[in-house]
Amino acid sequence: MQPTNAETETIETLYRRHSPALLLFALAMTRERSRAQDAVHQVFLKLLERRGAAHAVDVKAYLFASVRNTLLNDAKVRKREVPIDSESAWFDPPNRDYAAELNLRRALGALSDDQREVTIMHIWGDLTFSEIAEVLGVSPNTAASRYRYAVAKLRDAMCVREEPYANS
Amino acid sequence: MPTPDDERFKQYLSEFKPVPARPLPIERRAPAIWRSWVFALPAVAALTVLVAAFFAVHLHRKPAGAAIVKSPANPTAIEQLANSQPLTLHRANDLLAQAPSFKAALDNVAFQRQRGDLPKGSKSALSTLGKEDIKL
Repeated sequence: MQPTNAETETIETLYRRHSPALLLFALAMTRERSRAQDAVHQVFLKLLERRGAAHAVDVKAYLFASVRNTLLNDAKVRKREVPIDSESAWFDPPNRDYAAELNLRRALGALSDDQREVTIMHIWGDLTFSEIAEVLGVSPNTAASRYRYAVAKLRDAMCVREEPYANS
Repeated sequence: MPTPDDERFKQYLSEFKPVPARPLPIERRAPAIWRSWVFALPAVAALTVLVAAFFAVHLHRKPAGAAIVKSPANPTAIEQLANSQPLTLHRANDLLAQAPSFKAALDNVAFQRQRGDLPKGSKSALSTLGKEDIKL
């Protein structure tokens, strides 16, 4: 049974709101834009088949978990280590500072998978540590701990190359 | 415990906005109005055909001159029908159809009034012959 127009609009609204962070999350996991984009589309097309995410208690956490599961189910992602594509930006940087964008991308790429996931979900996905813990199946303390380590590494990596936020 | 420096760094990182995703490939349903027209037009056409067929059959069953007389049971109307035109087979059929009985129809035909007056200076042949004393 096809979704109604109202249901389709609801899912499109969810897509507009969350797809940039979900795509970043998928990009950080796969490092391949096409695969990341496909995973995000796949999740939302499944939502359309199921006519919404009304069954989900926390829609945002549910979407991140769905994208993550979709990617983990893809055997190719698990078996391949893809280098970061320097041509494909992950962010629209402030003040069109594309050098900073590349630094951030490299710094994120240098994190462990666990730390990178937590960092992206917390900073760009606006998920709380409790929500992240639910997505990853770990305790909130573990999620918070991974985030702290990740931020320390990011700060070191970014400060070595530049110190833009030191004056802000 | 996050320090103020952590918060500032987090704020700095938040200024990097993730690139937008490609639009979701969704096939939208046709609007409800369009869908209703798709179903309504054949329905209206079918209804029109049915109504037209009903009227065609109904009118075909009526006598040809029925439309002339509005009230078939009205004697005045029948009389008008009898006097208004020369008596023809067609009009005789109409009269028979409209009259309450066969006898009434014949009476109307037999005792209809003369139509109009004769021109001045001319006489009715019937009245002239009626006045003459013809001996056989």
